[in-house]
This record gives sequence, structure tokens and C-alpha cells, in this order.
Amino acid sequence: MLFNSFPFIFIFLPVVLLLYYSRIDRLSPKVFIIVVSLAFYVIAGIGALPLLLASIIFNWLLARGMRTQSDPVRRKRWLVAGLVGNVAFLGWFKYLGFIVWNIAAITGIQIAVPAIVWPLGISFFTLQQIMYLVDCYQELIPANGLVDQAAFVSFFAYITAGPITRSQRVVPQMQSPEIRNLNFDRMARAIVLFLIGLAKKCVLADNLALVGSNITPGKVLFLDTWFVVIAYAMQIYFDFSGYSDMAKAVALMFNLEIPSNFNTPYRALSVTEFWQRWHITLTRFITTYLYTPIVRSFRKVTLGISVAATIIAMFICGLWHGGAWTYIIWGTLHGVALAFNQVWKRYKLRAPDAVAWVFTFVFLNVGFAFFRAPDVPSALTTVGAMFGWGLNGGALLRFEMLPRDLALIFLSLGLACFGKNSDELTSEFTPSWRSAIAATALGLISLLYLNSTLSKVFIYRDF
Amino acid sequence: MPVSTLEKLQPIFQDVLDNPNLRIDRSSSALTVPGWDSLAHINLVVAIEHEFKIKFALGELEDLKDVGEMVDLMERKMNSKR
Repeated sequence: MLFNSFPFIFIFLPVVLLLYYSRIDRLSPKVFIIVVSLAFYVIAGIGALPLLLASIIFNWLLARGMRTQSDPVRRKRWLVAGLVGNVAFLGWFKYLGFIVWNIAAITGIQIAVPAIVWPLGISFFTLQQIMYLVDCYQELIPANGLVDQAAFVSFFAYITAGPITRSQRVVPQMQSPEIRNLNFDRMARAIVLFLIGLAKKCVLADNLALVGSNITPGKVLFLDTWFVVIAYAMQIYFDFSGYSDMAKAVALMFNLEIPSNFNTPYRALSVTEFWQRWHITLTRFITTYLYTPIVRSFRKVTLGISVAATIIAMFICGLWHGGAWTYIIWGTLHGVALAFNQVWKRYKLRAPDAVAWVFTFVFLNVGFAFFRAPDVPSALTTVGAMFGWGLNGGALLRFEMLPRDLALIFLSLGLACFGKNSDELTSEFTPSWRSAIAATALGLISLLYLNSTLSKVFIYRDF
Repeated sequence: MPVSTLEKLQPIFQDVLDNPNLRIDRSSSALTVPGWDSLAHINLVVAIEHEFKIKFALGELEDLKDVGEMVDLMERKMNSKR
């Protein structure tokens, strides 16, 4: 069930909230959250439920086993077993087809692979549990009980596509029975945040997805190529940040605070700054649990080690998005750009802000040309056209893009760069007639678009 | 008088952030110190670990908001070793 759907907005969410705050069931908040989250998961597809439960139980048992060991060598073995188990679980569902495809391409050996549909949110809940195991291993947190573990992993606000949340962030909040007391102020803020997210998704992202549908197939024009790629950059931002706002809002409706994922990323003046503002919870995972252990294994962190660790970590980041060379190239390109930023900084080079912004934004769009492409040759065609290679439509400044689509692209770009972000808007929010009318209007417009046939699944739901 | 943890941190910050004139205090943070980004943060942590013979848990690193919190955590770790 999608957050941007009538059944979720008008049935699932209100019913669940009514039950939560009426307390007619007398369940603890954690047990209540498990029941409704598993219901949400089953509605999305019952077949994946045993896999989710298996993952929860596996990690619960491992952490408990690890914490009972006093011998450091044995504890490490438990950790390694846990990491291997989680990576193998993720690999089986997400990368088996990709590995077999590559073997066939290199050796010509064809291996039949059954069509595997991976469990909803597997990439996200697996990362959460890897962080949990490492934190337990380093004695930062105690091992969760089974109920804590199930509530932490399955919470329906973030199971679909994050924000990637750590156990110590949510489990302590879920301990208090008082989180089943309704706080009107917080609920109002949560509703406003949900409506902002819904508008980003239905009004902007879903319309941006249709940009360029009038363009003649096979005709490669310079400006149209740029417009289409920038439209995708805007689409994925409003899609994923819209989803993240809704996820954060849904958690807040249950009196739970989870981390933010975006902070106006297209204002970034470097690729390093972009990653501090884009998919922030993934960036934290990559820096803390991938980059750091790599550089830490060396006695002194030199520029060379830092550069190599960055590229390796971002290669894995690309692969995490899916088994496809387009994602791997996208991640590795970002790794190289981050490494370039490090060298740039080490030599204290400076560029005017406007130049830095243009270079960063151009680079991000080259990256997205790979990210959105069905395969590497198509991506190369697009990137080539962005720099004047392989054009076949006539004069350089000719374009077919409709004025309506151009207006949407520039409006989105303006909002993304100059508008207040969702966190700023909700922190400034005070309940008043004016804000109520504005929020209602935003909600109605979003529902009108939601009612049209445009509505699409979230891009990151497939990761 | 023994040198405080904060004073011992000064040359590490100057070296990692490549700024010999840098002076940090307890309120210094990634927001106020030029060049202290997420990668520099990790490099600072690795340098501190080697210098003070302590080990941070990975999950502790992102919660360190400023130098004051870093000094407090370091002192807790050094005291628990004694």
C-alpha cells in the first residue's frame, strides 16, 4: 500500500490512528506498532512476510548470541556470521540475476534463474539491522528483546524506503506508554508535513515524470536532452523527499521522531556538500559503517587512502541501489567526484560560488543520466548529447519541449533551490486559521492529482 | 599543571584540517570550523584514536555534535581505561 493512495490516506491511516489513541486494545505501543506494521506489510504482498520475519528473528538471535560471548574472538565470529548472513540475504534477492547475467555475458554460460521478487524494503531493513549488529558488537547498545527488534525493523512508517533509522533512535521512544497520548500540536505538524510530502509527490514528481513525452523518438536535440535529464533530477528529488516527508510525518503521528533525509540538496556547491544534503541517512550509513572501517584499518589516514576508501564506499553505494551497471557507474562517478573534492580541498583551491554550483549541478545531472537509463549504451547516448555529441535534430538551440513542461521544470528548480524545505516549513508552523486553510488547499490539490491516472509508485520503493 | 584534553586536541585539528592557525574551543563544531566536513570528521577520529590510544564505537561518531561532546566522550573512555 502506497502512502500516496486513497486506501492509505482515508482508511488505513485514520483507522490505525483512531485505534492507537483510543487505547481500546490495551497493547503496549511496541506490540501495537508490530501488529499494524505487519498488517501493512501483508497488504503489500503476503508472500514476503515470512522473509521479513526470518530476517528479524535471525538478527535478534545473533545479537543475543553475540552479547553472551565474553571472548572477543568468538564475539567477532558472531558479528561476521551476522554480516555475511545479511549481505547474502540481500544478495540472493537483489543481485543473483545480475551476477548470472554478467557470467553469461563473459563466459557465454547460461544459467536459468527463477524470477525473484524481493521483499518490500529489503535494502532498507537489512541496512538497519547491519547497523544494529555493529552497534551491539561494539557494546554501544544492549541486544533488543524480540518485541523491540520486531517493532524497530517492521515499523511501517519507514519499512518501504527509509529513512534508514537506528535502533537506539526509535526503541527508547517506543518504551513509553505515554506515546499513546494524543498531542494535538504535534499531530497538526505531522499532518502539515504529510500534506507537503503528498504535494511534492502528486503535484510535482508525478507531473515531472511525464515531461518530454511529446518529443520525437530517436531525435537527439541538445537542449531537449538537458531538459529531460534536469526534469528527472527534479522528479527524483520531489519523489523521494516527498516520500521521506510522508514517512517522517506518519512516524510523528505516532509520537515517534525519525531522522530527516533531505536538506535542500540542489543548493550544494560541491558533491561533498550534496551528499550532506541528499539521502542523509544513507550518507551517514556509508560514512560511518563503510568509509570509516576502511580508513581505520590504516594507521595514518593519507589523502590516497581517503580517496581510495571514498571510491570503494561509493561503488558499494551504487550497487546497493540495484544490480545494474548504470547504478554502479553512477555510484563510482560520485566516488570519483568526492575524491576530487578532497584533493581540491587539500590544495586549498577555490572557485566562485556560482561556478562551483554550475559544475556541481552539471555533474549531478550527468550522474542522473546513468541513474535513470535502462542500460549503459542509452546512458552514454544521453551524456554524449548533453555535451554536443551525436545530435541529429538540427540547430543547437532548437527544442521540442512544450512550454508547459519547461515551466514545470523551472518552477521545480526554483522551489528546490530557493524554496524553504519541509523541515524549515514545519518547524515554523503554528496552528492558525491561515495555516489550516493553506494546508487544506494543498491537500485538496494533491488529492485532485492523486485522483488522476498519473499517480506512480515511489522510485525508491524499488530499491 | 597537566595539559587539558582540549589543548592536546589543538595540534591534531590543525594537522588534519591543514590549518596551523586554527584554535578550537568546546563550542567549535562542523558548522563553525572551515573544512570540518564528514570526511574530515572521520580523519579527526582516526587521528585522535591513534594519539590517545582509545577506540570510538562507529555508532558514536555521528552523535558528536561539537568539540565539547568529543572531549567529554574521550575523557570518559580514558577514565574507564584507568
